Amino acid sequence: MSREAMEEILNRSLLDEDFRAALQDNPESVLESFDLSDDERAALVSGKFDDVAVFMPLHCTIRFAMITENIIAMKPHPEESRRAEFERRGAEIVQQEGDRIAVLKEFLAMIR
Amino acid sequence: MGSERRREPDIYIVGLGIKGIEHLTRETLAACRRSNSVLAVANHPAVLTYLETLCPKVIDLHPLSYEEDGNRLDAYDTMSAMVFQAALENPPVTFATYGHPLIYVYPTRQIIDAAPFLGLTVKVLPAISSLDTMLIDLDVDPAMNGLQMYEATDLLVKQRPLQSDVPCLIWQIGAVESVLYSSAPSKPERFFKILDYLLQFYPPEHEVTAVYSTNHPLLEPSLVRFPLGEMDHHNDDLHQGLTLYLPPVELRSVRNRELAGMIESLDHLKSLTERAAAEANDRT
Repeated sequence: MSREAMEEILNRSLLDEDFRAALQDNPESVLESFDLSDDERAALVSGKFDDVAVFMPLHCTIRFAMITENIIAMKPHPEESRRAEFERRGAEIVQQEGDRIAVLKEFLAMIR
Repeated sequence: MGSERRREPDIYIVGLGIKGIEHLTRETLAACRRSNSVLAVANHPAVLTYLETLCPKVIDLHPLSYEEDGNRLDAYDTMSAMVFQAALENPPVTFATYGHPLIYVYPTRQIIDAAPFLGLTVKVLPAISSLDTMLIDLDVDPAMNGLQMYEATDLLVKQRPLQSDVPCLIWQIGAVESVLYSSAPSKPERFFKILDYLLQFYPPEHEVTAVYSTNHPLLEPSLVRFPLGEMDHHNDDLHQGLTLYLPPVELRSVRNRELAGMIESLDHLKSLTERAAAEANDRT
């Protein structure tokens, strides 16, 4: 239940500037109306990222770029010598109708 | 003979910034408003809620992002394919990711590379990245001593040389040595190799900072300082997404004193510039 309260407080304070200002000016009073444990309340009042992250998954994880291909690839892509092949396949996909997710994924793997 | 009207791109690629909706730029907001759908990887559910006020169709791609113990390439292919599918069906669309769209984002690179073969046009807009926020958190201005930065695994695999007199950011230190995703805490052993490598350039007593910029306006950034030689004891602090900052060990001395003595000289500036043209411009 208190996890839901934490979520509500953090989400609402992103969207509602008045609510956020009230929390910054007088956190104890604003938080009184929420179902929080003493530790959760103290973490929010502290404003410390790591304290709040104990109760909520706030840390974004690693970004997208780190894939094996990035690290070991030594060639520029898409390969210039296969450009005509990519253009032909791309044009075929554009002509298709309906759900193209599967063929688009094959195409992305092809030009990688 | 009016100027040719600029064509709307089929795909906008935008960044949402780091701190909730506070970092959204006006041109990013405009792109979302002009789009028929926004496909987003946001760092807060509230950001998606906000995007829904700009565009009637917002698709959350985050569930595709991370699969425990998985290589995320298939997930990235799915994300990019979904963006292309939407753009082929009903352009324009926006692909929005938290942070900056071209900093550590593989699907945006895929989309830029593949779009021309599908007859689609792409426009990429700049955004606030975690690099921007970390420079604030660490109070570092790259003008003073430069800046070097590497992805942790890439640094180790390629044995890239480091300059100990230049501020250094090691990105994704908490995920070092694997391209697979796991939310499990790291063992101290995970940091043995990277520590050994860094100790080739920096002394063990050199104080470093593990930095994580806040992604919420109510919260302060996370900064954990420790001597480099103790990094493996901080395995609990070094979660995925953290960046390790190594300040310069010493400041680099001037090597070209002759040039250093001329950089404030007006005569030297005149020798470098087309003075007559500048004066003519000043008069107009």
